[in-house]
Amino acid sequence: MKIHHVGIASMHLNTALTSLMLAQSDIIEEVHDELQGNVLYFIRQTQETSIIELVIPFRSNSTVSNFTRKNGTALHHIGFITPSLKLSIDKHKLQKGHFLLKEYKINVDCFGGKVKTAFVYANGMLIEYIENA
Amino acid sequence: MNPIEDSKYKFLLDFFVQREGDQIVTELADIDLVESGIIDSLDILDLAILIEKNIGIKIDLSDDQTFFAMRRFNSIINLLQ
Repeated sequence: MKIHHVGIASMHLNTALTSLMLAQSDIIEEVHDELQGNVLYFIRQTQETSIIELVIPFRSNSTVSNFTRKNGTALHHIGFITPSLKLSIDKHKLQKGHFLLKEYKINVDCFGGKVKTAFVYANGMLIEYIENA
Repeated sequence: MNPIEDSKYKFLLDFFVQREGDQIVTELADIDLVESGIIDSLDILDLAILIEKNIGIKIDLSDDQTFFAMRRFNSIINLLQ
C-alpha cells in the first residue's frame, strides 16, 4: 500500500510547522472540519513529495485535543487511498482490536475534491482511508 | 445484580480502580466518566479493546449513541448485555 498522506496533530499550527521545519507559505490548502472540530492544513512541497496534513483542534474537548494533550505534536494518522472504503473497513472489522471510528464526506481539493473518508483505530494506530466520491 | 458486583465485568472495574484507586467503586454507578475527567475519548478506544479482549464483544464506536454510552459504567454494561 502506498501512503497517501500523514496526519500530524498539534495544539498549535506554528508548533507543528516549526517541528517539521516548514513555513506558513508551504501550506497549500486549509479546510475547516466542523464535524471533528479541527482545522486541517495541507502541505505538499512538490508533486513528488507526500502530502502532510496538520490537524489543529479548535474544540478543547475533541479527540484530537485529547491526543495533543497526551502526545504533544505527534504523528496522528496515516492516510491510504482505497478503491473501496467499504472493503477496507470490512477487512478491519474482522480483526481483533480494530474499530471503525467515523465515516464521512469532506471536500479537500488536494485530495481531488470531494472524498469519502473513514478512520479506523487499529490496536493503537489510527488509519484513514480515502475513496474518491 | 448490581453490575459493579458482577464478576463477569470485574475487568472493567479493575480498569477504573487501577486509574483512580478503590474509592472509585462507590462513585462509578453515578458519574459521567468523561465529564468527571476520569477518561477521555481516547480512553474509550482502550476500553473497547479491553472489552473485546476479555469477553469478545466488539463495540460499534462509529455509532454516536454507542460512543456516548461509553461515558457511563452502567451504560457500558447495558451495551454488553
